[in-house]
Amino acid sequence: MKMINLYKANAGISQLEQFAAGDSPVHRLHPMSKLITSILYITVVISFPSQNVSGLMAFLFYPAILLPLSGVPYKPLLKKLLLALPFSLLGGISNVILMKGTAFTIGSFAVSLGMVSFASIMLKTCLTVTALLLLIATTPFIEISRQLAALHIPKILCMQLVMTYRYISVLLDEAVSMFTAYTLRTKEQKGIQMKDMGSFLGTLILRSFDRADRIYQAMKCRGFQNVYDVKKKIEFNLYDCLYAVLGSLILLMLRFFDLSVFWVGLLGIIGG
Amino acid sequence: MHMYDALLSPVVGGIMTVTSGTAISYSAKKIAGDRLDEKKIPMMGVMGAFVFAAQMINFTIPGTGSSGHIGGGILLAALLGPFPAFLTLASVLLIQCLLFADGGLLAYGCNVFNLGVCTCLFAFTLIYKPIVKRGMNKKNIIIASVASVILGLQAGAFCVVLETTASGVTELPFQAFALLMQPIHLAIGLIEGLVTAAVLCFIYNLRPEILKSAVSGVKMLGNVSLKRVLVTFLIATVFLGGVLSLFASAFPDGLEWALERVAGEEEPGRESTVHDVANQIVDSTAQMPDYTFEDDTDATTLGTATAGIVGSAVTIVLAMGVGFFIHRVKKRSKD
Repeated sequence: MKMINLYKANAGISQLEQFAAGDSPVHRLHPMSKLITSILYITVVISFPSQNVSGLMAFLFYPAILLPLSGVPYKPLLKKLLLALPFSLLGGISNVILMKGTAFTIGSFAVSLGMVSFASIMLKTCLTVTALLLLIATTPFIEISRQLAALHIPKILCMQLVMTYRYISVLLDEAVSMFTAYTLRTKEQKGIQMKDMGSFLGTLILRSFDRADRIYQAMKCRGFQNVYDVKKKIEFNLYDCLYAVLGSLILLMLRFFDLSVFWVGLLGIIGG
Repeated sequence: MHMYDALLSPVVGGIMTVTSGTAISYSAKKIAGDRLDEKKIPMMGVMGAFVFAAQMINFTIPGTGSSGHIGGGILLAALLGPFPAFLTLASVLLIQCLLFADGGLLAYGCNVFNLGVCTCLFAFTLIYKPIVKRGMNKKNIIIASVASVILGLQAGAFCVVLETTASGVTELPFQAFALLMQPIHLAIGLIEGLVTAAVLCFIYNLRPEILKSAVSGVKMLGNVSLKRVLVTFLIATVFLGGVLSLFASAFPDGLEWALERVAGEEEPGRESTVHDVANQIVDSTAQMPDYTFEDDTDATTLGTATAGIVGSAVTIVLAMGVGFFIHRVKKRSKD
């Protein structure tokens, strides 16, 4: 049953790969403009002080617009989001316990500073994780690593990223079949016994080494010369520019301008 | 033990990204300078995938009923040498961050430092290598791997505590958080160390040359001493951490402060008009009669709070409305 992890990881990767292979206005954007706006979005969201929840709300527009535009189904993304929550939950709950001051009262119910900052931490987690998932669900992994190479990230790391990514499913399969063999020979065991881990992982390592040897020979046969291929270039067109520039401007503006408070002000002015 | 975006401040995230970025480019240069046989490239790729799989293989810990898995930093370093291992781990962490939302993009620098620099570079070079170099035998391998895994995890856990406290997003008191994290990771480290030792002994029996080349393969180039680099790193981190936490407390929102200065100096005219209009509207809300309550002194804060809640609700509804609208339009154009 513990091995469900392995199956799930494999399925998760191929699912994201399928999403990224889709076609939509968001998919068609240049990977670099998506990468830049995603990083800026995350930075701006993180920069909000913990007592400001209403300002953060405006950032809901980002997933609310991009998710339906990209056509990526929201349920699988939601599941992945849930997996990321526990650690932040721990930090957030500690704030509820430790921050005693009252932020404001609604009727007779006092909302403590801790509760406000709890809401802020959870909202920040949801927003940042969703932004990341949206990026990877609309951009093929190899494109992201190409952009990283264009940003002067050491080429060996980019090459490493692509290769690791490529072989994850191969090695997961290998691990799954070894685990099946192991469980068939043992009685009523949930996971692997600790005493068997040495030979289990050791065997997997030796198999990986042999596999790497074969891959190297295959790469050599196809003319590999220790150079990372960045030949395929996607043109940066007007829309990509507009998306990156306008997106960044709007994000920065929303950092200093509380949209939620603005609505109330607008209502107040209209109401006289 | 991943750090997450939501618990980080941009300043801490930025510093750690720069620190880890330096470590990555240093390692990349080191490898390129080593004229690392191209063979290591597919080797690193496949071993990255191996670590990925290995972290998902749970084993039962005898006598406790719980299960654990390995982190793999020391194991990788013992097989590939510290620099290739570090780069491998850095790529694994980026893939985990992108595909499994483990950590975050801004927290990536922290995670590379806590799980990569602390194990592959610090613990391996300071503990594992010196012990194993004295004599490659099973006893030394066991001692070296248990000690270095424990040290690496302790350092990493302590960094998590430091980064969380310096960010100031949570109220977790430094002492209590450290007292919670360190003992837990001592236990985890012991278990992981034993498993790492078992794996390395298995490899030593069958292919001892792999372990030998990892320890001896790191030739220092020119006159750069790794120890000096590590010590400089340590001092720089402590210094930056100290200075920046002062900076962070003096300017509670460093980014806002910096951005305002930049914006204010470049385009004072346009900025100020937009800002003024916005301020007027915000002001009119805070002092709206509807929102004043009996107690006059609390009126403004209460008003802003209520405005915040009402406004937030409006924003949520609008955001959902926009999303739903796009969804409908797209669906209709498909039909």
